Amino acid sequence: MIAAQNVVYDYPSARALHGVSFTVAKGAVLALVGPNGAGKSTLMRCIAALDRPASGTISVAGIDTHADPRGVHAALGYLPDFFGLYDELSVRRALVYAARSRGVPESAAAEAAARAAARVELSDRMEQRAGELSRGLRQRLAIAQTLVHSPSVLLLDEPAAGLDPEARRSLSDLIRRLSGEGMTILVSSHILAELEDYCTDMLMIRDGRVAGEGVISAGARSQGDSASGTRIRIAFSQAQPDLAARLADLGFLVEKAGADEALLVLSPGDDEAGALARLVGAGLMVRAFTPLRTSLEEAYLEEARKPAAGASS
Amino acid sequence: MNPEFQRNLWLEAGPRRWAWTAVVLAAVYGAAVLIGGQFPLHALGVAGAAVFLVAALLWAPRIAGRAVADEVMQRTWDFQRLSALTPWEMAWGKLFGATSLAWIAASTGLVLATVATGMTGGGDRVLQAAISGIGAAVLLQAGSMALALVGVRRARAEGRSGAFRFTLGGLVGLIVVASALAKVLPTRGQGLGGPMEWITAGLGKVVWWGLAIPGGWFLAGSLLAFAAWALVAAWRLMRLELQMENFPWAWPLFALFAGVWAAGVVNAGVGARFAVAGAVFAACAYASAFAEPADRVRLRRFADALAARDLAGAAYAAPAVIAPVKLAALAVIGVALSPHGEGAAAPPALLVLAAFAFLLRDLGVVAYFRFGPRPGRGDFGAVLGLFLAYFVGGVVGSQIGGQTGMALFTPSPVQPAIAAVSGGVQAILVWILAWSRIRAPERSDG
Repeated sequence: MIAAQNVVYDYPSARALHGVSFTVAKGAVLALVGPNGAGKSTLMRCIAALDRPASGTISVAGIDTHADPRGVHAALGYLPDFFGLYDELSVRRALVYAARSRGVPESAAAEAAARAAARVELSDRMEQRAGELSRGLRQRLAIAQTLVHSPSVLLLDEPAAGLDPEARRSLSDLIRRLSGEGMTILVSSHILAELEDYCTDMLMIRDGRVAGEGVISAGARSQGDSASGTRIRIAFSQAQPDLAARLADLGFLVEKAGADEALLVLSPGDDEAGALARLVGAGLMVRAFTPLRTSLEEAYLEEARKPAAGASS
Repeated sequence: MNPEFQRNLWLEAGPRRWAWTAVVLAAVYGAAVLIGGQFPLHALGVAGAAVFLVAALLWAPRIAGRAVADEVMQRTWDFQRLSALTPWEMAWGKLFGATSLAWIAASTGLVLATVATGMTGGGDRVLQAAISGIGAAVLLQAGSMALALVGVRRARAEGRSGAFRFTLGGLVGLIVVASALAKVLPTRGQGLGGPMEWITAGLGKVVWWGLAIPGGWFLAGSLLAFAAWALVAAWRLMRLELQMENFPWAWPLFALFAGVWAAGVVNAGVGARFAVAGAVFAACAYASAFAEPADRVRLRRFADALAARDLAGAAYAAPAVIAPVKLAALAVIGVALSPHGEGAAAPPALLVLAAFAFLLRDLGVVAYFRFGPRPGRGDFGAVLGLFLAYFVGGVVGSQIGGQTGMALFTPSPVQPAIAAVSGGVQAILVWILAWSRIRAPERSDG
């Protein structure tokens, strides 16, 4: 859905992006993470076709940002890190204007506005002025404005910044709902614990370069090498003197085994439910079955330690 | 209805603002009638003209500029840039939506002034003044918006946020240039005496390209033409903001139009016409040098396209300053080839060549400062650099070498050959320095 190839972006006095390349699959929720000044916002603006890279290509929903920036604008919704609202307009008028300006026909604008308001749970505040809303509600209105034309891609730059815990939870729920509707979402944030809740993939940007191995999926966010499969910690209710051998006979790769505890590595093709069924079927009394996953923060730190990928300079 | 126009109406022409405007207008017109005594109609006409001046030529241009600058300050501009509106819809929606209340107030003034003057026997002058007033209002409002858009582009490219200062400076510059032009326009052998004199005084005939045109009609027609160009500028700049590319036809055509327009009012031979047109082209070149963002990425793209003989690509990335400089060069050739003995009004070809050499030098100075490590300070540095080059250089030169020394730093009419050579050498040196800055690679610590 989003493909960036060798993207270079220059500010007047410094290079902000150095040959960034990555792809995001349709329906994915990509966490764009990295330290301050890494180039996340610049990358988002380039994806939104608001800024033009010095070189490289970006396509969104199959549309090239350079060849058809207006087509890209129509295909996506973008919420910048510091957004503004028309404070004097009511929520209804703000959304109707957003709908009309995003190409929704006049006859359908009111309905689109109502639908967008319902999506962000603002239906009960349609007549309230934007300037009177709390920060969390303003955030919701801003997101509703970006959604009002039903884009296929949503870019959210630091959407949770400055929100209280309740508003953050509400935002997480909203992103999960939108993801469930099939929208491709790219979220940048410093609050990694929250991204954990809804992100399917992660991309780390560091010093304008892709850090580590590029986009990593949540499924691969298990401990160890993603190519060798998920690691599972298993505890048994009864001690087994030949536990390692029995597990090996069942086709598991045994990393470590004691009398009543083992650490297995599933083959890439194995699913966790199937592995559990095989253990139980072999008469082993499984007390605990724990796939070992790293938190997004751990994955972030792990990626940060790896050399940059896709660097061109 | 254009959604941008509608949004601006929602914001700018709410019931409270309507009420206040009505109260203020009623108070102004009421006071005029009271003060007018036995001549209430005349007083209403004067008050109407004053209301029109304030609302259409001061209030509305300010709002038109802010219609863009405020979006940037309030961080709603990116949202607008992503909209599906066409550049023209966005431009006119803002231009006439944001200024709607000012236009309504101005209309009351215009109607009153026109009716009052018409009833007291104004004749053609009433119509001329009305058309001129509308032309001037559209010119200033669209010009103000175009300047704001230039400011926004420059600020973004140069990593700054303030755009309104540029609008304000540009607007003041526009009025100063209009005043200067008005003073040099020949009417019955005299200047117009200022841009506003047409409202109260009758104008003589203006001979334009041999046609004797009543001054009022000439002014009205000129203002309408320049207003149309200002609208074109706002539309073209809005296209750029919406990430559309412009094939560069408008700016060269405008420079040509302005040069031909100015040359038309100079009735002192072909050489003088070329010289005046050249001066207008030079002014356009200076304006472009300051108005375009200091975008070295685009300049490199231009150079790469030229190297690859991709003329279309080069045209899209070409700096705006090139076209007026080419036109100025043609004007210099025109002066050189003009028949001699047509009168003293035509400047010597060598002097015009010297002025052209100094123009190239000055553009190099502007580029050198604007592409420096701190682009935000580039304008000030460039102006200071030019001041030092002309004023201090001229004073020092004249102290050391008299007229010859002065000719080293200014296009001196006394020693034009020395000035031409000196200007040319300086232009080469300055452009070598400027090009080294333009080509400097970005730091990799972004």
